This record gives sequence, structure tokens and C-alpha cells, in this order.
Amino acid sequence: MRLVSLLAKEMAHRKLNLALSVTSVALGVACGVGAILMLRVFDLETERTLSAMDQRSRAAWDNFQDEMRKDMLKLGFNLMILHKEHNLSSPAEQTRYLPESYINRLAESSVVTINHILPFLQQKIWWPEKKRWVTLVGTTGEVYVKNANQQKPMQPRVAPQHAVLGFAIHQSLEIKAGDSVTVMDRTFTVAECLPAKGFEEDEQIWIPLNEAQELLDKKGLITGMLAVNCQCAPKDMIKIHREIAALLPDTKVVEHNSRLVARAQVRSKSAVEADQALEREKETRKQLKERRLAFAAVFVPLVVVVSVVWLAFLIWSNVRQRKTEIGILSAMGLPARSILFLFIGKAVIVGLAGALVGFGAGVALVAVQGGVVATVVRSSDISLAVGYLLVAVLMSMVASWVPALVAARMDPAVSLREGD
Amino acid sequence: MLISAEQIGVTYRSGKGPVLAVRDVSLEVAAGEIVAVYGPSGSGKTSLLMALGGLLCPDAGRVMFKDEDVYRLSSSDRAAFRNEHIGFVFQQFHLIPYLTVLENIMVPALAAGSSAPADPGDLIARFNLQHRAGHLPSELSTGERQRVALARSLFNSPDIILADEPTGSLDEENGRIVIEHLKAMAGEGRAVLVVTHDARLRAHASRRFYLVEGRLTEQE
Repeated sequence: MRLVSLLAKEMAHRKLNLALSVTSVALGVACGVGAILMLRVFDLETERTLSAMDQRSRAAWDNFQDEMRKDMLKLGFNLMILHKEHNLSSPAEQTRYLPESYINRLAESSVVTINHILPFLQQKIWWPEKKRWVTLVGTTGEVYVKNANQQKPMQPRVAPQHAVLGFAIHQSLEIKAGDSVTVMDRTFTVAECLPAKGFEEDEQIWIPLNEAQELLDKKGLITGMLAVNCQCAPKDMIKIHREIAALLPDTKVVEHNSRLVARAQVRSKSAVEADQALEREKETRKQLKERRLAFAAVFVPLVVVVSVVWLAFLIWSNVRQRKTEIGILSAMGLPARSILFLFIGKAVIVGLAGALVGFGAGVALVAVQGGVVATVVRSSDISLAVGYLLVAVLMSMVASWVPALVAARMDPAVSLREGD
Repeated sequence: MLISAEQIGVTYRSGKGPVLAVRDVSLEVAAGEIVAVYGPSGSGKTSLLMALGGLLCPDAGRVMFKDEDVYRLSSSDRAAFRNEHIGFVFQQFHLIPYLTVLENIMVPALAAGSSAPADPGDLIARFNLQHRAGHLPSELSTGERQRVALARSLFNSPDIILADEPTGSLDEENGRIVIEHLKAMAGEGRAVLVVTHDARLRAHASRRFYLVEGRLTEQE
């Protein structure tokens, strides 16, 4: 018979003591493992929550952008490229034109701050057939800048020999879509009657650019180009000016400031609000995690200490129970180191068993709490398991060291006398 | 002489102060003889037995095994001395409850390691325990338990048998069997020292000593 066999038989004999000892170690290990895995579950939940929130926010932002774009269409173009000497406030000085070739030059450029442009030739004329002043506007329809996102045009193209009438004109002359109107001896079919806009657009007649050039005798010329800056950040205006000046000499860019800023501010505020909501959620989750960590930092060591004390008590009680046995073994010539081995060996086995049970219990705890074990437990956790195994064995040995030493140093005469 | 006590004294510390259990006792036991020590309860019989067995270090005097002072040995050497030369038999048998009869008999092998006899079959047969070899102590009769204790004491073929009231818990028939075994052990050349109240056992002793208040006197 060997000492290991004696050890195994003793453990099998005192099952309750063994079970309680293993439970004690398992409790400490389960708390440690559970705390780590539960924090990991929390991290995964945080990741999922923030990701879902981010996705929702992005979807809402995209939707909002689209809605904004549609709403902003009603505001029209927000930039105007004109000859640098063109004076918008003085009709007399509105006689400076740009070459029509500027349209293609801009369209073919790699300007990134402008999405789409609307070239136009515009002149206030006396409408002899109706005996009133109107503004005749010739346009090609919208032209997209190369590589630009080709969105739905803000201004529909005017078909050849067709005209689009401003509200004040068709309202006062009682003209409807489909009617014919004659302007400077040229007849057009009314393609559309525009709704009231409250601006100078209400007094405008829109016709194809080439036909306006013929009527106004401005072949190959345009007044300017309306444009939409789609990036909408106020700071972009400096960049737009720089890009346009480099590309189209003798031009200036006039921005409808209020529209531009309003658009930029609304979009920026929305984006900031969405980001802030995400940041607030991150901060809340971070604080929650810190609170959990603080709790675990107190709770886990407390459980470990209680486990060690409880284990020491159980081993001490085991030593007292085995007093006579220790006396017999000593009387039979078993040296102190062998008696020490019996108790330390038991501690190692209890530590190993407790670590395995505790690790399993910790993982089960995660499963019970709704965490998906497969996503929480990683292959790298083998080192965590080994670490806990070592800690559990060490913890068990520490708890049993003093009782084992007492047992090994026990006076056999006293053990036999007191054990009787 | 195989073993001897030379003017030994044993003192216990108790709550009421030191208690002199054994006072200036000298005793020699030769190979092949049975020596009986008797006396009233608390007279120091068990303390004397423990001191001779290397389990209780006397405060005074010395215990000699052949020419060696037992208590000058280191703790581990004294454990080895007990394992090789001493066989203990206790009144309460002191069997290990979770070991079978066979395993209990082999307990001295735990300390002896590979030098221990491999097969306790002869001992089992000698003490008529063949049918009980796989049983636990709790499944044995009182007489059987004491026979297991006797068999265990002989496992390492010791030179000396120290028996503390070996018949104290037994009925007449089992007591007679134990006495026969002790006689046989002495007959094999072992020194047998028994502490006993049993007059039948004393009758088989070569010499008898009376111990009272820790003082030993030889009786006719």
C-alpha cells in the first residue's frame, strides 16, 4: 500500500468533508471566473448596443440627409458663378457675360465642392407681345460635375420650343400649361406654370439656352451658372472660391449665405446630436462597467478570503477528526513528512477539483445570465483556466498549510491519548 | 538486554500544574520474555509503555535499545526505529476505519516502503483472518479487531511488542486467544512488554511489575 492510496481512501471515506472542501475552492474560483466572464458579457453587450445604436443613428442620418436634400431643393441653388464685374444690384452693369465653354470646363473638372450646376443666360426684356417687362432666362438644364453623385435635378430641363412661366406671369395672363405664348416673334408651348415663390423667379420666362442666345443675340455666351454646394460646411466656401478662381478666370462666386449657413447648421447640429447621443451611451456603459469592476474588486477577493478561511476550518476539522489516525501512523513509524504529504496532497487534489468545478460553474453562470458561452469563452482562456488551476491549488495549500503542519508535528502519545 | 529504561521520569503539564506520571523507573526487557506491568488507573503504565516505544520523550533518564539511546535519535530516525523494531498493540485496537483488514495489517509498510514484506498472507492465516481480509474494521467482532491489531504489530517482524491492555476489551475466549498469540511472539524471540490488569495474562509473564504513583516495584 502506498501513501497515495491511503490519501484516496481517506477522501472516499470522508465524502462530506471532501465535498465541502471542493465546494469552498469552487466557490472562490467560480466567483473569479464568473466576474471576468460577466464583465466580458457586459463588454459584448456594450459593443452590440453601441453598434446597433450607431447603425440606427446612421440609418436615421441617411434618411435625414435625404429628407433634408429634398427640403433644401425648395430653397434652390445656393451658389452663383458670375463674371467678376457683373453687378447684381445694378441692371445697367449686368452686361458682362461668361463664355459658354465654361460650362464644360467646370463639368469636366475635378472640383469636389460642387455637385451640379445650372448654366443660364438672363436678361430683363420688354415683352412686346404682352407689353410688360419680364426676365428671360435661357438654360441648358442641370449639368453634373464629373464624378459627382447624380441626384435628381432640382430644375427640370426645358424642352426645345417650350417655355416655363413664373407665377406672376401665368397668373396675370391666365396662361395654362399646353398654351402657346409668343416672345419676340418666337412661339413656345408652355411646359409648366411654376407655383408662387415670392422672388424674382415669379417674373421669369424659362426657355432653352440656345433659343435665348438667338433671341438675345448672345451666341456662345452665358450670364453665369447656378450651383449647389452639397457639402454645406461654411468653411468650404473658401475652398470653392479657390477652386473656381483657378478653373474659370474672371469669375466670382456669390453665395446665398443664409441658405448655405442654414443648411450647414441644421445638418451639422443633427450630426453632432447623433454623435453626442452615442457618446452619452458610451459614457453610461463605461460608468456601469466601472461600477461593476469596483464591485468585483471587492466581492471577488472577499469570497476568496472567505473560501480560504472556510477551507482552513474544514482541513482543521479533518485534522482533529484524524487525531488518533495520525497517532497510529506515527506509532507505526510514519515520518512527519509523510503525514504532511497526506494533508498537502489532499489540498492539491481539492484545489484541482475545486478549480475544475469552479471554472465550469463560472461558465454555467454566464450561460444562466443569458450570455452566449461560445462568444464569451475564447480559446485563449485556456491560460485563464490554467491560471485559476494554479491559484486554486495555491489557495488550497495556503489554507491547509498550518493544519497540516500541526498534524505532522503532533505528539503521537498525545494524539493516541486524546483520540481515545 | 534488548530494551531498557534507565531511571526515567515522565511529567505531564496539566491545568493544575505538572503531573509526575513516571518517577525514576528502571526496567529491562530481554528477547523472548514477557514482562507484565500492572497497577491502578492513572498510575503511569501507558506513559511508561509510550516512553519505551519511542513515542514519549522522558524528562529524565534514558531509554536504550541494545546500546543506543532512543531519544538521542532524530525524529525521523526514531520513526524508523519504531517502524523496524517496535510493534504496538492498543486496548482500543486503533485500526484505521477506512482501510480493510488486509490494508490495516500493511500500514507499517507505508513507512517501510520497499523493504516491507510484500505478502501478509502468513499473518492473515496465523491470526485466522482469511475470511475477513477484505472487511472494514466496523464489520469485525471485537476479538477479530484485536487479532488484526496483533497481526499489524508483527508485519515488520519487530524485536519488541508493546501491548497496552491487549485483553482489556475482550471476552474470556478472545482474551485467551490473544494471550496465546503473545506467548507465541515471545516464543519467537521477541521481547514482549504488556501493561495489563488481566491476572491471566500476568500469570504468563516471566516477570511482573507493580506501578503505583509512577513508581515501579517488581513483584514475586
